[in-house]
Amino acid sequence: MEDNMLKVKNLKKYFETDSGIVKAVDDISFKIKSNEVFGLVGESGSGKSTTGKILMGIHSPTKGEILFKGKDISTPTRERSLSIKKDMNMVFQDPGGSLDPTSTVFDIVSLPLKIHGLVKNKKETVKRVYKLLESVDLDPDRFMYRRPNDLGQGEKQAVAIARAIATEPSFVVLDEPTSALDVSIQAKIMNILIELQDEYDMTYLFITHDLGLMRNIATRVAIMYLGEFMELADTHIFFEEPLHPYTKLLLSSFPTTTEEEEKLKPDMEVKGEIPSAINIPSGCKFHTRCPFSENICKKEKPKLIEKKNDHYVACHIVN
Amino acid sequence: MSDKILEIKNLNAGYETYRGVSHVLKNFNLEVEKGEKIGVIGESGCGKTTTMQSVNQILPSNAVIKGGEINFKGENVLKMKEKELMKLRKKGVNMIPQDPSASLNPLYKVETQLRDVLEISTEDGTSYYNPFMNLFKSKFKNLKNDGRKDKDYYREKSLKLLEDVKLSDPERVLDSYPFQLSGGMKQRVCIAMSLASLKDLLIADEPTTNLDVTIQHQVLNLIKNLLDKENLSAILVSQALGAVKKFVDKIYVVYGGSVVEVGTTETIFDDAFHPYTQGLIECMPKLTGGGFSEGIAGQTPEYVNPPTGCRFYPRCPNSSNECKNNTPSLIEVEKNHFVACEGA
Amino acid sequence: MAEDDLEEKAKNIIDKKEGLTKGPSPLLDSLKRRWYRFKLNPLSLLGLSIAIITIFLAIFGEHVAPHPEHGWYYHNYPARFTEPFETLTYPLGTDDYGRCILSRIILGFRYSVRMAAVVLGLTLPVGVTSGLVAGYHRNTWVDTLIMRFSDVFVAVPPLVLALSITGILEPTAENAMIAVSLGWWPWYARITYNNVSSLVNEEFIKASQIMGANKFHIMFKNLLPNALGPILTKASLDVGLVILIGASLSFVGLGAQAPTPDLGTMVAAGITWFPSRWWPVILPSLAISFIILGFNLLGDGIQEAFEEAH
Repeated sequence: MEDNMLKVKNLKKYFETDSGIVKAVDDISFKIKSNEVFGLVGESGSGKSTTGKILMGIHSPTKGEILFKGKDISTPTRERSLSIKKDMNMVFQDPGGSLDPTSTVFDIVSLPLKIHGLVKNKKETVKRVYKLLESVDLDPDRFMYRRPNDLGQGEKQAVAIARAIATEPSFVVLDEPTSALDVSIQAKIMNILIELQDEYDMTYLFITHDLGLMRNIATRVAIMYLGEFMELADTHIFFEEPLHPYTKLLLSSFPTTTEEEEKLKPDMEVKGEIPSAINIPSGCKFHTRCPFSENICKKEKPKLIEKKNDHYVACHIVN
Repeated sequence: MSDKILEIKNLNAGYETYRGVSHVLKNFNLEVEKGEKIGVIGESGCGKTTTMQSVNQILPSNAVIKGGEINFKGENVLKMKEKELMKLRKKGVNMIPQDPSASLNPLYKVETQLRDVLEISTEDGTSYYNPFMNLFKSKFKNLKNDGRKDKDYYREKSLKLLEDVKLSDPERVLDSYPFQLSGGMKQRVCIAMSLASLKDLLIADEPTTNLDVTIQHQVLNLIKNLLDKENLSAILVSQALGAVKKFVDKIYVVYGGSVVEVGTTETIFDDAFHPYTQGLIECMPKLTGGGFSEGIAGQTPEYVNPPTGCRFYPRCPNSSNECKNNTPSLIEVEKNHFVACEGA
Repeated sequence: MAEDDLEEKAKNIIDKKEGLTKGPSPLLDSLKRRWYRFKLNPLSLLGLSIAIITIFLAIFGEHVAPHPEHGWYYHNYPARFTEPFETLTYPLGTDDYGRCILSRIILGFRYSVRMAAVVLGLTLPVGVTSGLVAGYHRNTWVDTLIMRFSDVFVAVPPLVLALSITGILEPTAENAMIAVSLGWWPWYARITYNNVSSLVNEEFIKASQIMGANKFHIMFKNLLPNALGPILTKASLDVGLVILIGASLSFVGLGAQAPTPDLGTMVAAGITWFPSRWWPVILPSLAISFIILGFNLLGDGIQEAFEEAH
C-alpha cells in the first residue's frame, strides 16, 4: 500500500491581477504520510491557504503535480470523481460562512451521508447524525434541528467538523479552523480534532499562523514565506532546533506566558514586514528582512536542501 | 491622591431584542489612573465592547443603560449633554475600533481621511465642523486663523504617522482608497488616525487581531512609547492574554458582563485566583508542547435570562450553592489583587 | 448513547412522538425575529393592514358590496350620477349607468389583485429559475443563452411592450396579463442572477461542492433559499406597480373591457364626464392609490424584516 497519502511536486499557482502577477504558491514540493498531521505555518500572503484550496480543487494549479493515494488530483472540484470527494474533505476558517444559513444542522451533517449512499433510510440517517454530533461534543437533542444562526461560533465549527468527517475520509484539510474562535473554545475544538483523528485514522493538513497550535497538533511542520518553503522538519526539531532565520523570527514574536517558553524563544529583533506580493524581492525572498543576509541572498534563490535527517532548509547562510 | 481618568461604577446595561431585554453588564466596575495602561480581557460576548462604547456613548440605538456611573475626569458621562459629549470625544477619549473596514469611509482616499482627523484635532473642542465655514474662511484668508494649515503640511504629518505604524509604502497607502488595502493595512491606518491626536484616554478594541504576529509586536510597542512620552492612559481590550502581557500594567478579567478579577500583569499570570482566569491561562497552547487543555466547560451565559448570583456558576469547577444565590463583588484578596468569587 | 437507546430515539424522532429540539423551535424563533423587526415601523403595519383588506375584498367582494349585481350588465338610469355621501343606498354615488360606485370599486379590487397574482405567479418561477441556472453557470454558454434572451425583453419598457402586445392581440384582461408578464420576468432573472453570482463564491457552496453534492441540490437547496430575500422584497413592491400598469392598460382600453368593474376601466369610462361629475374618476383612482400605497409600505416592511443584520 502506498505509504505516502499525498505527494506534491513543484506546485505553482500564479494569479493574474490588475496590478500584476501574484505568485501565491511558487514551486513547493512535499509528501504527507498516512496518519500524519502535516502543519503548514506562515503569515498573511504566505500561500498556505491557497495550497490547501488547490488540494481540494477550489483553485487549479498553474503547474505541478498532485497525487492523492497515487491518483492525479490536479483537477478542479467539479471534475473529480465521487470516490475522491468521499475520501477528502475540508474545514474552513469562517465557521459561519461554511454553513448554509437556511439549512438545519441535520440537513448539513446528513448531506454527505446521502450523497455517497451511506445510509439507506431515514432512521439510519437520524442515528448516524446523532452519533456524529455526539462525537463533536454537541448535544444532539439540543442542536439537531437548529439553524446555524442560532449557534455560537464554536458550535458552528463543531458542526462543520462533523460534516467533514461524516464520510470517514482519509484526508482532511483544516484551514485555520480555530482562528475565529475564543481561546477557551479553541482548546475544546483542538481536542476534538485530535480525538477524531485517532478514532477515524485520518491524515490532516493543518494550516495556521499560530505557532502555539502547531506545536501541539502537528507531527511535521513546514513554514511558508511568499509562496515558498523556508524550512521543513518534524515538530520537535522545528521548535527546538530551528535553523532558518524566518522561523527564528516568527518564534521570537510568539507571546509566551511561561518561563520554559521564554527559554525556547530565539533572540531576534523583529524588523520590517512582508513585502507586497507583486513586488517580490529578488533572490531569497526573505533577504529584505534577514539580519544575516549577504550578497548571494539578493542574487540567487536558495534551494530547499536536506540539512540533517529529514530536516530541510532553504537558506544560503545555513547551507 | 492619584488622578483617576476614568471610573466606571456599578454599570448595568443591556439591549432590547426580539426575545426581550438582555441584561449584559452587571455591576461593572473599572478604574484607570492617569498614565496607567490597563488590559481588559474577555472572550466574545462578555460585554467588553458594550462597556467601551458606553464610555464615549456610541452605543447602538437599542442599547439600554439601567444604572451606574461613568466618570471621566470626575464628570458623569451618562449625564452629559450633546455638546459636552462632543468635547469628550474630540479631546478626551480616543478609540481604535475593532473592525477597521467599518471605520474607514470607502469613498475617500486615506489622505483625505487622515487630514480630516488632523484638522479636527487642532480645533477648539466645542466648535462644530462646518464645511461651509471652512470654504468661506479659505476664500478670505485674512479672517481669524483657527489653526488650519494647508494640504502639504497635513500630507507631511500623515506620512510620518503612517511610517510610525510600520506601513512599508506610506506614499502609496496615502493615495489609496480603503478597498485597495489589506485588512492589516487598514487596521494600521486606523491606529495612525488615533495616534494623530493623542488624547487623555485611548481605548483600543482588539487593535491587533488582524495583524501578523511580527507586526503586532512592533505596533503595540509604538503605541506604548507614544503614550509613555506624554503620560497618557490607555485601555487595551483583547481576547488573548498573551497579546497584552508586555504592554499593560494592570489586567481586568471580564466574564458574563462583570469583572471577575483585577491584578497586575504578574499577579494574573502567576497567581490567578478566579477559576475563569485560571481556565483561560491554561487554555493557551504552549510553545513547549503538552497538548491542549480541556477548555472551560459550558457555554457563555444567555443575557435575556441570565443566571442568578455568580454568572460563572454553571461552568465553575469549584462552585457551591452560595454561588447561585449571592452575586459576588470584588474583594481585595492581596494588595492590588481583587477577585469576585464566593470562594475568596 | 447505547445502540438500543439510539434505535428507540431515532424511531421516536421520525414518528414525531418526541420533540425535535429542546428549546424554541427554530422556525418559530426566526418568525418572531422577523415580526419584531417588521413591526418596528408603524407604517409597515399600516401597509400590512391595507394589504389584508385588499385581499379580503378581492376574495369576498360579492358578499361585502351592497349591490353586487351592479358589477355586470345593469342599468338604472333614473339613479344615474347620484352624488356621493348623499344617500345611504349609494354611499359613493353612481356612474353613468346608475350603478353603485362603492360596489363596483369593491368588486374591482378582485381584478387588480388577480392581475398582480397572475403576473407575479408567472414571472417569479420563470424569472427566478432562469436567473438561478444562469448565475450558477456563470461565464458559460448557458449563462449567455439565458441572459441575452432575457435582454431582448428588458430592452423595451414594460408599459410599451404591454401596449404593443395587447394592441396586436385582442384587448382582454387575460392578454394584458400575458403582455405584462413577458416584460416583467427578465427583471427577476436579473436580480436572481446577481444574487446567485455573489453567493456562489461563499464557502458553504464550496463546501457542498467539495463533498460531492450535485448541481440541482446546490442550486435549489443551497442557493435559492439564500437568494430569496431581495426577490421577495422586490415582489411585494412590484404588486403595486403591476396593478398600476394593469390599470393603465385598462385605462387606454387595452385590458379589461366594459362592463367589467376593473378600476382602470372605470376611470376611463368616467373621463367623459370629468370634471363636473368628478366621482366616477376620482374615487376609483383613490382606490388604486390605496392598494399601491398599502403594498409599497408592506414591501418596505418586508425589506426591513429580512435584512440580515451583521
